[in-house]
Amino acid sequence: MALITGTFAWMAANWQTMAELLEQHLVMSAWALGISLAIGLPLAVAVLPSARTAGLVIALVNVLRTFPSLAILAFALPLLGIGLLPSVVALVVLALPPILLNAYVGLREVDPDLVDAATGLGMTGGQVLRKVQLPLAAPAIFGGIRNAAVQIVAGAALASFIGGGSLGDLITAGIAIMDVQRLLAGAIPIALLALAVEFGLGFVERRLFGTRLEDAR
Amino acid sequence: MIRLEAITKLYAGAPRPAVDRLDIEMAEGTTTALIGPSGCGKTTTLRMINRMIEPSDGRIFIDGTDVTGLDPVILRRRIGYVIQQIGLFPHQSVAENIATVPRLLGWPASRIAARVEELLALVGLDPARFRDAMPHRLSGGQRQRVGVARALAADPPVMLMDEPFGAIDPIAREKLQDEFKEILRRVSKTIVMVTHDLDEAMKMGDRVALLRDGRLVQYGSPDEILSEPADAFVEAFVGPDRALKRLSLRRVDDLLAPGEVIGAPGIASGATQREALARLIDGGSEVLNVRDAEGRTIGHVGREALLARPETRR
Amino acid sequence: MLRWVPTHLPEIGEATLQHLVLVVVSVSIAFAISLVLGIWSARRPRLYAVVMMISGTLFVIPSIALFALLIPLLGLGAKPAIVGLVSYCLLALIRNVALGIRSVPPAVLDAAIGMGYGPVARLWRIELPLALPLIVSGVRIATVTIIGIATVAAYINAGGLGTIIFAGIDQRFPEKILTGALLASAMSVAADLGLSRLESRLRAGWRA
Repeated sequence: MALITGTFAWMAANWQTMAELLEQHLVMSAWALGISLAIGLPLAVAVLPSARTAGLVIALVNVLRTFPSLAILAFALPLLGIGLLPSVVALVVLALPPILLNAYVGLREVDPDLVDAATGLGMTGGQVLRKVQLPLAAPAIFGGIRNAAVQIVAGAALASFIGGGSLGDLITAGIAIMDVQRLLAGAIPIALLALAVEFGLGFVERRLFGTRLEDAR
Repeated sequence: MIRLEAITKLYAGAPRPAVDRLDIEMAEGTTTALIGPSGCGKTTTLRMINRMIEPSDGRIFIDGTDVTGLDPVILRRRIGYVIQQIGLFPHQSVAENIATVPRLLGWPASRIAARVEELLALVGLDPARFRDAMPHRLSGGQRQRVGVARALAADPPVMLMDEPFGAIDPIAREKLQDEFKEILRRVSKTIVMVTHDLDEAMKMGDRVALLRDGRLVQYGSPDEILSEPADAFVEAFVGPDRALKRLSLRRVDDLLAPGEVIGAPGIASGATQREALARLIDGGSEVLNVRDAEGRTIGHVGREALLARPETRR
Repeated sequence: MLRWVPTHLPEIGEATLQHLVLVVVSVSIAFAISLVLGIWSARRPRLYAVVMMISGTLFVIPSIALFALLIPLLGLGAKPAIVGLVSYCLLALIRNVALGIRSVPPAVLDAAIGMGYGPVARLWRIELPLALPLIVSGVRIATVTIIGIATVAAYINAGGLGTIIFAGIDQRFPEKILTGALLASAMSVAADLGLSRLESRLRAGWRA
């Protein structure tokens, strides 16, 4: 109990540091999510027509996934140095697989008869994509985004190992000087942030697609 | 009018063309049923008309215009398209589905709304009840009605239907066929329909085109196909009961003799000759009185007339 | 290119072994917990929802945060690392145990009851054997997941391949990072392939 009150006291006394680190954490995460969406979604659309290309890209992404998040962040250090850029790049690499795979599978599983009907009614390829394929794949795509967002927020905590600057800094510093209050002042917000992203996006997902998922049953 | 000239589709690596120099002309306002065993090229032929499949060779004219040179997207917006799996967009309401092509064509919203109402009424769905319904709430028959309404939305002169009753259960199918026949008669379109069901082809088609191995084997009215099969293949395809099938194409009214035969059982005007024959066999009688909707006898039909081999129309 | 690896093979071997032990011990403990919770909750939808909620929540907490949260309670070293890794296994394991048990067709259960199997015999002889492929699949998912996460455990002095990676970060020594990463990757690929093969062999076993 004393530990928890102590931790809150520490947070209150250092609220400026906390706010700064939280901001860095969120900015880093937002950049990473934005960039991975900007790469992952068009890539999923691009590989859609060719099962062979898609298979190749997916195999590559799956290899990528066997590497520990820590290792992916660690690689960025010798390649790109220290700071925000290497961390964002590493987080993009982490987030790309769930975004790409979900989007690809979601798009591919759109009933080919619907694509046939849409084409037969005179939609162009782009119209079929915008009006039929993307709306129908939206729940799967959103699931991938949620997954990626959680991975990014968690990965951003690890970014402090490579000087990324995030709430993880409090943990590394806390362990280094064995200051448990500082340690918890990092760990608790990180855990809450990840849970907020997971359940918050889960809530949005149900609001957006809930009726559709229920109706489909 | 649709005219196919030496239309050919050869798939890479296939030993023979899927469709082989097919010539066929479909008159304006008629329904043509393409039929044949699987792999005969009927679906390929249909899909070449709106260029879902590009022909390898030959030309296709719709109302005198060679469409093989047109932008396929523009072409398709002028051709109604109905498929077996119906293909309603599950994320859009019935009204939105029907509005697909008008929207692509950039109609104003008020015109689209009015057209949706009109079409729902045409296909026998209460607009108030179905306008905002989502497709998965509908029965198979209701879905296919929406599918047809969607195909008719921009009032295309030509409609292509690929096994339009394939996804409908057999009990509902016959009723839907009757209704569609009536709807299609009212809108008077040039319709090309693919089916593998001979009875359906005979019922829906003004003309039936029988295909085999990508070639046209026989093209004629249902009656011609049944009464004068072009060769042994057609004869086998239409089956040994083709005489009975012909009876189901004809109405008792065609054989009507004047006067009422006292004591004979009755049959409704508009019943098929096949039904009449069944009634005779069932009741062990020689004659049936034909009655109109009010129950008045308008004449009679006898066993002799039913069994006489009718001369064929040319 | 390879300057460090050839001269430090024993060190690398030891880290690999530590890593393997961390993973195997964690999956084993989690397996025991999940078997109990999975069987218990399989046919109790409300309990199952609660169990999934808790294990799902644990799963979402970032590893570095979870390890840090455990330090005040368990200190540094392998103990908090194993507790953390166990908690990451629970979601996949419990879910697959429950799914496996639920996948047994009611007709099969009916027949078993009709033939006089008691609840214990039914579980042991019918439900668990039939659930086995899905359970193995859960073990595979859990194992592959925590092989990566376990690298972070080195930061709280639990050892394993993470030690090499962290040394590489500190010394800006890419060869060490690469070595740790590749070994972890190879370990998860091996676990994935091995357990997939076991899974498909179990499935094929019934068809024969």
